[in-house]
Amino acid sequence: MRMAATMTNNAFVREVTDSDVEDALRFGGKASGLAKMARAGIPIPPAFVIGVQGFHQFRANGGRIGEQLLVQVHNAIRGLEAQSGRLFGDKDRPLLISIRSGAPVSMPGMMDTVLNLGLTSASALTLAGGPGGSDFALDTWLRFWRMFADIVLGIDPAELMKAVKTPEATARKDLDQASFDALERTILAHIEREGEPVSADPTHQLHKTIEAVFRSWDSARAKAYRKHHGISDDLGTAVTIQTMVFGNADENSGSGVAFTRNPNDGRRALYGEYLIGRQGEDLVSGTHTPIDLSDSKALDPALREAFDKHSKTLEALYCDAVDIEFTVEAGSLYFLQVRPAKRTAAAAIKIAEDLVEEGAISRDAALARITPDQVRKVSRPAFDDEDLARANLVTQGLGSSPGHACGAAVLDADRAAERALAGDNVILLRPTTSPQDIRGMIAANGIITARGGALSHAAVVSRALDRPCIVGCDAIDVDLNNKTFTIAGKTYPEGEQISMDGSTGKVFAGVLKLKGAGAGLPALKHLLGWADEKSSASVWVSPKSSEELVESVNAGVRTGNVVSITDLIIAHGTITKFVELTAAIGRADAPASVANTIRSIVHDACSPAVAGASESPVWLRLPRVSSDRARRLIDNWEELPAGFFLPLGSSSYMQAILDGISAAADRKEVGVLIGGVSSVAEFAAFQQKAKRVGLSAGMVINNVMALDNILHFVDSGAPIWIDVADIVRTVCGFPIEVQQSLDVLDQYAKEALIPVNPFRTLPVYVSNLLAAATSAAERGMSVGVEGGGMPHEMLAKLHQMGFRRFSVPVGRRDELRFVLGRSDKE
Amino acid sequence: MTALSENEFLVLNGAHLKKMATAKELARAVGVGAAEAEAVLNAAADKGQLMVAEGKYLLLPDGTNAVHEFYKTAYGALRSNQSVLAWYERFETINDQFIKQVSEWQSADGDDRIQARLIKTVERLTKNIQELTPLIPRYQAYVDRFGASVALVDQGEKDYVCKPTLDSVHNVWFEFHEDILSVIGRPRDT
Repeated sequence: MRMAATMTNNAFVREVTDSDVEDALRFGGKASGLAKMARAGIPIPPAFVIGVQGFHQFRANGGRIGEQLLVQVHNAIRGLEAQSGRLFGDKDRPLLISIRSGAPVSMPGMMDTVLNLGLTSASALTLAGGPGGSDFALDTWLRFWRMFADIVLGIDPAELMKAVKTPEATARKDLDQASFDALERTILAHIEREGEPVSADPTHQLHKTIEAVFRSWDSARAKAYRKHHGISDDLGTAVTIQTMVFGNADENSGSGVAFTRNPNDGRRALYGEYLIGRQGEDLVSGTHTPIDLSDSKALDPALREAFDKHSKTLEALYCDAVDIEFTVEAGSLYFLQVRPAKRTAAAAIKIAEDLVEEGAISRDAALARITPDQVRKVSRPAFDDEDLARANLVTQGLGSSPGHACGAAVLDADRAAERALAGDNVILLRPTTSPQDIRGMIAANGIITARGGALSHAAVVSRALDRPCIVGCDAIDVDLNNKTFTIAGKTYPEGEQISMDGSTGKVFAGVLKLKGAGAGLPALKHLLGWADEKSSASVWVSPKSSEELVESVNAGVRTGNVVSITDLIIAHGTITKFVELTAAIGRADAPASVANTIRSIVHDACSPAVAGASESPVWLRLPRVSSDRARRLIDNWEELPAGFFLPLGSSSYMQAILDGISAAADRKEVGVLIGGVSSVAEFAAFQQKAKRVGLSAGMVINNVMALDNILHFVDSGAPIWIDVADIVRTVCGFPIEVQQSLDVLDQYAKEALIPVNPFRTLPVYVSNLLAAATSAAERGMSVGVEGGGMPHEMLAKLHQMGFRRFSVPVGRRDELRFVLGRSDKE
Repeated sequence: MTALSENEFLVLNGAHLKKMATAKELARAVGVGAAEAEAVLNAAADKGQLMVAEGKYLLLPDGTNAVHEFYKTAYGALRSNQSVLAWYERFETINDQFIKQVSEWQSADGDDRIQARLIKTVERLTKNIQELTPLIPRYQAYVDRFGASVALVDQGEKDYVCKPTLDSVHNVWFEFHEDILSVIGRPRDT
């Protein structure tokens, strides 16, 4: 009775099943997590925690553990003994424990984990006689010594293992008390030689370990970290002590990793691997064949049921998909670690959408859970449906990282990297991969391995790199010496063109056409719909070719297109001629045939774009002879007559282009945008010219004067696009080259030569210049931001200022829609 | 060829280990003032020991020879010192660990658990380097640089693990490795 009173009134130590332990501030993040799991009925190995009060007493006691705390720890150990039926320090049925630090906030420099504490030479030998056998016993015991030496005593574990090599070999061979005792003596002697006092007594080791956790609170790294983050030095750390369980104890044991949803595509189905009779590390090394948890018949029905039940509980607890490290010891299931699951970009989006549907999280929360990077990753190319239907399937493995890719099959990482550097599309095809192959994996469009499972190196690394990957294609026989590979009796040379689908695991012969961005993935469409609703922004695209325009229209873009005529001419392959004629028409003695040819080049380049746009509005940007691009394209640019550089400086040139567009428009609604104008009269004159050939007129503002006149332009009802990057650049006086390499300006800002990179943080002067434009935009006038030269973070700021219409290259559309949906106006 | 002074050696050795660096970077790495480093570098450039390209200094063969010569004179005695050679044998083991951990860290997209192990190895090395500082006092600069880079990694600046253009732990480690090899007279072919 007296003991119970101590535990409640003045307790440093609590069992993790105690509901108080959920308070992370007093008992640390790890114990708090365990307490929540225990309360929810998740099976965890028995554990207790020394709260931060214990740390404070340790400090007050001059850096030593006080008598009172020791008594409580040993009482709690008695509790673990009662629950496990084992005894701490016992020779026959030893209780083994793990000790972990547990600060309220996890921080670097804190003591890590010590596992397997509780063995002696005598009990290790008993363990060797058990179902796990001698290797299990020695591995478990030596693992403790390595961790204890490393973490508690600061002695190099590799050196310790080297020093005990001979007696270790003898112990493995002889398996008797004398050889185990000799091994223990050698360990102790090495540690003492290194100047650390040490004992073979588990109680002494436990005290030392607890002290080490407390001391690590004041390590230089932890102090520096706290100082940087403004965390109080007085917070202190807890210590979590938990019973060890062993997956390699017998044939009714095992360990594995489970995901509550498929981490590749996000489907609601248990996924993962389980290895019978093994510890978790064996999974990663891939040395044993695991049981596939997604196969509902593969697992013992009772275990299966337990997983289904606990998965639901944990998802409700975390409001997210989780991954679980688990161990089964002699038929009992234990969850060791649970955390939000790592997942591919596609899975993240699918899971976020599903969680909204399930009512677990709000739409805003779903948007907050996805990163722009993930949206970018899924908005990438996919196989053309028709090509896919006709494709010749060669073999199928385990799809382990999604995505479509095609290229030359290359059997060596270095050669793959070289070919990719030379501009080839490459698929890295290997028996397995290892860290040495990383360069080739980065360079390849996709990775296929003949062996390995869902947790092999190739699979894990590909997911991290976001490369399509197929593993376990055991029908492929790779011959590295002859640089060939054989599938179903047919041998192919290295360099054979193949295509792969990293979700289905299918490998196809030849090259399948890849279709442009953003197609497919219904979950992304929903998510972007929510984003649009939230941002009320309209993101237009600026396709670089008619094909790109048609593709993006077919992918469901209902906003509009801002297309540079110069881009269309380049894509059409007639830019050289066009540039020649541009230079020619600028001269006084230009023959009439020049204008006619210009008109037909413009017509031919624009008409497929106009025809393919169907209902989607098309605005064509006129070529600007004064632009930086024109300066680079036109030979002897500086010899052109000066008047030609003005927006309306050459009426024959302007007329030829407008005529070409008008012919291409073929009575359809098409608009033309003029850049470089500064005055109201100038724009009015242009509107007249456009109207005469049946075209609507709009403008791109790229100078401060025009920005100052914006309200007059707005009054004319014409659509206006502001090239904010051009404004910033000219206000700051930077050449175009600087704008095109933002990191140069980042570095400049880092050296404090300019206060900020103005392409990332708008200078106050420029935001003042934009004030009239933003108020017009907020009034719903047709004012947009041409965002091609701006990073998304800046476009999000312009959105916050009040702009609602943006235009970006096709490949950036989805990401921008998403970013705007996440940015908060308030 | 006149022998290098202690300070000349410090700066030129910095250039030797870094291969290509600005005066500012060199000064910071070896712990001398920027003006002093610049003076040493310019004098060496006049002697044809090094060249400047885009504000970065590169040793020429004469400079490399002078640096090697200094190592030989200053550390000749250590090359037969059993405790130093034993220290180096231990370093090789930890060096293998470190290289393996860096490639794991890269493969795992900077996974936090692998990063914690990697930093632990760095801490192990800095502890070991302190056994050498009584013999080679300038090695304290490596301890300080490792400490500074680890603190940045702890603050979440993952570039300080192994980005080649920063004073990342990987870069500092690499320079230290070249340095200790030169001390014991086994310069690597680079």
